[in-house]
Amino acid sequence: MIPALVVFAYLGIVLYIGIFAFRRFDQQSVEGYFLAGRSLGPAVFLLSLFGTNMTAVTILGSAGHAFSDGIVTFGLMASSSAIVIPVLLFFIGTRMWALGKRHGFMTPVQMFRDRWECGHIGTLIFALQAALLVPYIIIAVMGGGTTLNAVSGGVVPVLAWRIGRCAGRYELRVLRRHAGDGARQHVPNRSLFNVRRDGAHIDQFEHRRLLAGHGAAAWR
Amino acid sequence: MRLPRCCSPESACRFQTGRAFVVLIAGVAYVIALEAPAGIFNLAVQYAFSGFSSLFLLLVGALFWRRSTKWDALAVTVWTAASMVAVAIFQAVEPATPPGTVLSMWVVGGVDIITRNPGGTDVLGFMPVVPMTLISAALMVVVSACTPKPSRATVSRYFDFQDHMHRCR
Repeated sequence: MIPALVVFAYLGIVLYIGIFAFRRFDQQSVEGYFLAGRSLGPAVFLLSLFGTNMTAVTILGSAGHAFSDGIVTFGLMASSSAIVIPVLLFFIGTRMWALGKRHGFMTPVQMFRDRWECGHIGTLIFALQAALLVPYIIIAVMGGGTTLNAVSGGVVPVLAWRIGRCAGRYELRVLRRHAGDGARQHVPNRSLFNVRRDGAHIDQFEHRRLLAGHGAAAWR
Repeated sequence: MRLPRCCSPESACRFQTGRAFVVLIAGVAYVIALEAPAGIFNLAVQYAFSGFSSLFLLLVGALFWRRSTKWDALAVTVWTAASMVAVAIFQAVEPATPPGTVLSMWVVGGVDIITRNPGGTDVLGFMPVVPMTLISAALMVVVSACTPKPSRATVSRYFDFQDHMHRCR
């Protein structure tokens, strides 16, 4: 049961960071919301990248793969982690970042629309990519459910944990988007918690109205 | 390129759309996960990985190939979707073989083209992702060669900004 309590404590901290970051950054900039103002520092970027790659496939799938297929799993996982992902970040990630900053893109689909001078192609690619995303979320939900069910000795039913896992992932996403935003360019020593309180150029009343408008009132 | 007014960069609609989409897609995944059999784990990985690998050619084309047009992008997207659906239908019609056995579905001149195995399907001994991605690359080249070049202005916006790249780095 102790491992399960550690997991819940962790989730509580994640939730707190999410609320903390959400209430202390500029709600009015779309770039700020989706891309953290294109200003994630190295530390937050690294953590975000790590979190993105720690999927159910990595944690549970690779262990099972290694159990059934042996050492070949090391080649499979290590080649992607040590070679493929860094190479893609270096050659494709930096180029997309520069193009996005130059032309104001926030998503790859926006870039596709512009690059091929056609809105419909972007819509089609978006639909297919969204459909491909669903299996990833399904296995994350199922992996989370199975794991917590096991570490809690069956006390936490699989169903309840699945709900919690969804909520947790959403909080994490909010955190990833928001964490570095307030600290951009004004504070040289960025850190995860170094979010500028006076970053928003709106008064408190307006801030609260925005929060309520976004359905976040229940969080306070 | 013109976007609907609610998607203009200034609009608060984007916040709402982004949030609603996260909730929607998580909800869809949750409902499916409740009913999903244990075996879906492998299938999900198989389809999602294969699809993203095949769509990866879109990024390469958009960023590194001046000649790329919307028609080759369309060809890659449609091919990816169609081949995934084809694999899904094939595997639904033809059940997985018992562990340790392989069933030849299509043999040409003594070479197994398509085989069904306990974990999925092989094409010439490879997982479907290999032919999917290779054919995507071929489509990108062939279709773009048969369609009009993209406008000079667009190509210039994507490829003639080396100074800017260096400054950003």
